[in-house]
Amino acid sequence: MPDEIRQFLIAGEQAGARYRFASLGRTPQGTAGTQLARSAGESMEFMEHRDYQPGDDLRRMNWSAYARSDKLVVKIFRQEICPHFDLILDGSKSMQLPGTRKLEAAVGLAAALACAAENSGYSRRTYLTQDGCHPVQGGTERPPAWHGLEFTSSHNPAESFRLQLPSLRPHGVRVIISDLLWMGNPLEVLNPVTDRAAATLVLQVLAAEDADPQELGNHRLVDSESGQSLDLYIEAGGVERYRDNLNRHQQAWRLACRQTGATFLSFIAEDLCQNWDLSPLVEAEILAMS
Amino acid sequence: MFFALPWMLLGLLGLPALTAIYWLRSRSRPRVVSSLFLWSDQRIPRQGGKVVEKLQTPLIFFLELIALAAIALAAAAPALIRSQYSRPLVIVLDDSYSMQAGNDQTFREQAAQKLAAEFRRINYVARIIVAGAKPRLLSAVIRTPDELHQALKDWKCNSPIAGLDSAISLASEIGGETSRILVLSDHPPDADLSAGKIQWWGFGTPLGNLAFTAAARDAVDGGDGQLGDRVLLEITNFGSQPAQATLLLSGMSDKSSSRQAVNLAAGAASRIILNIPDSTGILQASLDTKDLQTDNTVSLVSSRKRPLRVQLAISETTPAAQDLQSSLTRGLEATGQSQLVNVLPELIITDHLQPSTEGAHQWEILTGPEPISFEGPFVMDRSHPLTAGLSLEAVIWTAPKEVTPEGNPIITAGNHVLMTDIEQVSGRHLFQTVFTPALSNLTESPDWPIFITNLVRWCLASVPGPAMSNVRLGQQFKVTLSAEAAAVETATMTAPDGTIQTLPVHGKQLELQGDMPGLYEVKIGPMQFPFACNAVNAEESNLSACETGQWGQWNLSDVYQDQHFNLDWICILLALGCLMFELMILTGRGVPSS
Repeated sequence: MPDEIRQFLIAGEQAGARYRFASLGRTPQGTAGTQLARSAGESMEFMEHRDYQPGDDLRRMNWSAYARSDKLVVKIFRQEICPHFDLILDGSKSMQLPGTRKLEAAVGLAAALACAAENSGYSRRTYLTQDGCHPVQGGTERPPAWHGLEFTSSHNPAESFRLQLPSLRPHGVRVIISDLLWMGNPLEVLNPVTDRAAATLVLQVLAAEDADPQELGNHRLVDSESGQSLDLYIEAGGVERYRDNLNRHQQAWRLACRQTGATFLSFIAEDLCQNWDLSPLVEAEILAMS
Repeated sequence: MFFALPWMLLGLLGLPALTAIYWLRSRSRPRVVSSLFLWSDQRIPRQGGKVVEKLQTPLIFFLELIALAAIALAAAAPALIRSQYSRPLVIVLDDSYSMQAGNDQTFREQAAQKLAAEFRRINYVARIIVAGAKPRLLSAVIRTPDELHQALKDWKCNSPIAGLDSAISLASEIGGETSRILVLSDHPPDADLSAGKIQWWGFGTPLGNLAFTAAARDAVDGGDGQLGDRVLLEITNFGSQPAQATLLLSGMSDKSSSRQAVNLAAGAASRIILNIPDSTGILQASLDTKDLQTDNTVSLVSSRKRPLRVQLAISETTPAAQDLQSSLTRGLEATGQSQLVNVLPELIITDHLQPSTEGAHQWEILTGPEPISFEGPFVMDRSHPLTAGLSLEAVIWTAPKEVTPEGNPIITAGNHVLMTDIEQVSGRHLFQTVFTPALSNLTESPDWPIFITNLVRWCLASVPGPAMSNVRLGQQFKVTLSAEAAAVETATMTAPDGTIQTLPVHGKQLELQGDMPGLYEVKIGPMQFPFACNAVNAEESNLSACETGQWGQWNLSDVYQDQHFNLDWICILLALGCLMFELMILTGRGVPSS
């Protein structure tokens, strides 16, 4: 793995060191509880009293309270959980678009989220989409320890999913980091990712040039992944049409995310790398200051 | 159609520049993108290609091309002349003889040729003014090239000078507010003519002309009783290089011609003085240069006149009277134009009142008692020929107190009249002077011979015959007629080209003028005499400042706007339309969906 990517990982980890995961919609779960969840459970941590309801475990009955108030009250304890974080990183060539900071932003964002998960006590696993979704070597470790991050795949994530699905842990928090710039049904990716997930984040990282092409005139456009080319004379009207297409594409992803309960956020790589401001994630109540 | 600012058409050079820009930018620049699918609905390829050799011509290229051309055309201010409109025009032609210069084609011929071409191109209603010494209207209204051709036949270019300023003033008066003025000359205008009524065409070429700039012939007394003529010829090289020519003299008494080489440095002048016998009739001098023929030849006829017959009738025998007679005799001899006689005098000078003699002028010098002295200067009638050149500074003039001369005062000392002039019915003049010679120093002063000379010349002027025999081109001179000649009604003047001009005779004098260089023959009753007219004018012979060009622009002048139909606004609208359409295309609003 190039040192450049490692530097990006370090920068992202530093950015994410101040954050932890906020309370997500559904409680992440795990077999061996290491954290207390907001829901009631079997831990020794007292949570609250409530009136007895038929079926409640009689061992939880607070007899002292019954003696004082002549009311049947049971003790509720908090649940112990072991949350898990699955990160799926788009490993296609388009993430390494020349002349942009797209790779830096994607890798850094992945590292920041991994660090926030670490701060939140989540177990982690990182996947890279190439010819299938493969775990990143050392992906359970701190980001600088990750190995094998190669963004050379000609397959987009949807194709990678078709080749090999990631083995995602149930009830975990799942994050996809990609530019999402392929043509296809978003549900093809979102359905397996959101299945039995506590929460799913879809983070789109676009280069500024992807979001708002500036150069006009005659161009031979070359697809970074397929190598196909297209000769175009780009006028202001053509750029406008491109923006409309991009908006429609993002709208399709937002819709699919709403359908599957995922959260969609889009970042401009150059803006993100400017000062690693993760406030959009905070505002979306995904991260919180630790 | 014409363009008011034709140099603005240089803006059309932008068209090949724009084509070059499109040609160069038609090369596609490779650009890696994340995905092509977002670009897939673009109209491809609208422009550009894989090869640079092929010029791509999208619609906006043609729009820009049209807009650029329209802007350049608008800047050149195109305008149409209203078809039914005939432009009023006054043409001022330089009539000086320098227009006859030129090697293969004279300046005049070039000017006439271009003027005819202009008439064939545009409808004019023109009048022609010839700018000679005085402006002269050449013809009636001219509308067609044929009429112009006929009118230009009278454009001779024989004037000694070109009074272009006065001719232009006359043209402005004739043409009025909306008339154009076209000046045809061989030199550029002196002032800036931009945006005015005047357009100036020059047809000259700088030439190093070698020419006669002065020619004179005077009668002299050889001193040994032999009478002869002295001839002065001045030749000037107006070129910037040394020049040489051959001077040919003909008409000498020995009937033979003489040749003389003339070598002159740049800008130098040479004077040649010849003494020729009195019997030499017409002396002709010519140079063999080719730039301008008019000033290459001069003719000089004999200007010898018989002397004035003067009778001195001094009756006093006093020493003072004898001194006066002596002073008068010396003064008359000094003029060289008088002869003392006792019979048939033409001027009588006397010291007493006496009856007038028929046919003779008379000068009476009156003395008397109680002389009173006056010291000069005195009040003089400067318009009288006798006072020409007189100053009378520090002259002591003593005159009798009680004697007052009769007639119009010529010289006065305060209210005391010293000299008078009376013109009699016969045309003779009687001068009366109150003067006491013994107590005056007038006869010892320099004014004395001047006065005597004035008197003799004036009296000679009344002697029948021409005042001058050799004149400059265009110079006027008077001929005093004899009684028999004054009785006729018309005189004839034969010009050098053989044309005969009939002149009416009124009174005792006739005014003549030579309009072309050469020898003239004048016949007035029994009087017959020749005179020579020579083109000797350094300003006209100097062809170094001649220039070909066009100055002034009518179309910029506001007074002609109603004669034009301006097209620049159409060009501007076209350019704006193209640019608007291009803007709509570029912003995507004007692109067809297909």
